[in-house]
Amino acid sequence: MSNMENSKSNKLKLVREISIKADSPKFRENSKMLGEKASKIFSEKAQIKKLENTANFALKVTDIYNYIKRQTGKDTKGKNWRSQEFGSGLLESLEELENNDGKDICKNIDISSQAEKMQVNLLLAREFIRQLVVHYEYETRGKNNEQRSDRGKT
Amino acid sequence: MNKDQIEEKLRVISEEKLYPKAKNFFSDETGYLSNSQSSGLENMARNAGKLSDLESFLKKQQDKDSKHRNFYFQLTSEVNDFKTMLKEEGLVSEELSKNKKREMVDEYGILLVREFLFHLLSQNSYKMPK
Repeated sequence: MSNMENSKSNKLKLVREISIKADSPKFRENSKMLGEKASKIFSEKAQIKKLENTANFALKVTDIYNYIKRQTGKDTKGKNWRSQEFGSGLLESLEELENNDGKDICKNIDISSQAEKMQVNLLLAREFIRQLVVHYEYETRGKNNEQRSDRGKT
Repeated sequence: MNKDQIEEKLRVISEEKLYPKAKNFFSDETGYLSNSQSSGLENMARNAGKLSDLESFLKKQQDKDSKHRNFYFQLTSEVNDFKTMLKEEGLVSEELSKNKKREMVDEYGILLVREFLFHLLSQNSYKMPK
């Protein structure tokens, strides 16, 4: 196999491994739980969108961790990121992914270079946050529809 | 190493070594920086062109800010360790002349310190008692 074919096949293996992990019950439950929490805490979509953008443009997973830490640190009154331990819960979930799922994937597809391991952790974190945002939007839309129908009744 | 390889190497060091160091930096002795002190330090690191500029700043802060002397003392010690790290990681070759080595340590050292401080000040903000 040529080098190009080899790297393409490795990328496909990685995408497949990430999808398998992202489909596991624990992954889905955690992202759902945090997405639902976020829908109760953040009335404005902007905060969650910023989190998603940070994840999408980050070059390494610690850029995402640092963003969460700073946002949580800024919330001195405990009204959003500190509320219901959202920030710390999200950070813990992502660190857990790195320590468990990330290591599993590297083992499964024989990744040994540090740079590639970093990429695995970043992709896992992005996928987790992507799912969280989907749940957030689903819950928020549901709440808005309920409010609209309540207004219609009165 | 070309520019891309150096950038990748710095990212790996930041993730593998600097982040855990920053996470374990704080203790009762170091205490935490206030928001304004934290911003001041971050701006200094961003604007410092070379490592030696930042080292002078840390030295001054140690003499001036008695409340955070231990914080700046420990930070200075971490910064010193980065010089060894640059050599261990192969970013500064032992084969270079003394002057060239100093130049490279100054140039790459400030990049490492900026990464470290970003991790450190995020941790400061996260853990600072509210």
